[in-house]
Amino acid sequence: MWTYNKKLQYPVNIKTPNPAAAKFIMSQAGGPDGELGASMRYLSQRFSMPYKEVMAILTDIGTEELGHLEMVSTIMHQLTRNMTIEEIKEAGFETYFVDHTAGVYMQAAAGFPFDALCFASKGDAITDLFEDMAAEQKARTTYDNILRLVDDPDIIEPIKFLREREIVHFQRFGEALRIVQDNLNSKNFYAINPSFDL
Amino acid sequence: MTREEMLRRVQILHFVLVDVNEYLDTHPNCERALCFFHKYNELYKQAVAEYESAFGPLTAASVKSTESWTWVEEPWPWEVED
Repeated sequence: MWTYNKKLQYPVNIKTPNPAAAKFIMSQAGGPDGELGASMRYLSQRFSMPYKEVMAILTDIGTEELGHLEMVSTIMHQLTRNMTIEEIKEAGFETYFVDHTAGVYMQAAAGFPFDALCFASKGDAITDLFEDMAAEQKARTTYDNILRLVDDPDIIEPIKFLREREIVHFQRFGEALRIVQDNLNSKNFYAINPSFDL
Repeated sequence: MTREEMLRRVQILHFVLVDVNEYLDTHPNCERALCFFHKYNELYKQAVAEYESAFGPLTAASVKSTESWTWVEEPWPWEVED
């Protein structure tokens, strides 16, 4: 169960709308390595995790990712406020505008809609945690790419915060993987699937 | 303190708790981290109480008014702060 807190995890106050930037930042909401996929991946995987510490970390990081989805969605909303039709055309935003106006919709930068394939819940503790570590690095690379493309400090600050969290979560998932392996036969980690056989 | 300054304090303390909570998930026997968690949890609760008594509820459960549903009155987080 969740309770909503009426605040962002980190403040987002973008004074200058910029629909051209919204076009690629939206990928970190609904794209292949975005926050929606991250949250749902961890919150799905935890059900088959055999160890309590790992259930805990998937629950708590999955919850934090929901807060990150809210931050990226807020960035999209603030970048597309008060647009004129001229600004929409100039920014090349009309392909999004025609389907969603200035609403927040989950899609990748290249335009394909959110895809649940990125949940990647395999039902194997080792496989899932390697997936999660890779996912954090992929999101970190995407944030690095976004930082190459923007120069407004109002956008840069929250994106830098989100990028740093990917690195912390990579560390926590590495520790979770070590906890799983410490519980297994060190001569052959793959003798069983601890999510299925225990 | 202004609304924005008080909200910032709540956000900072909440972030401290999120970060140490995740650390404790994979280090549940770390006494230093546990002590740190309890210390900052007290500061967080105090900051939330001060914010809510001045500027209204951060969660629906903390609505105090018997006159009107104050949950809908305060700005939502995606609105640009002045």
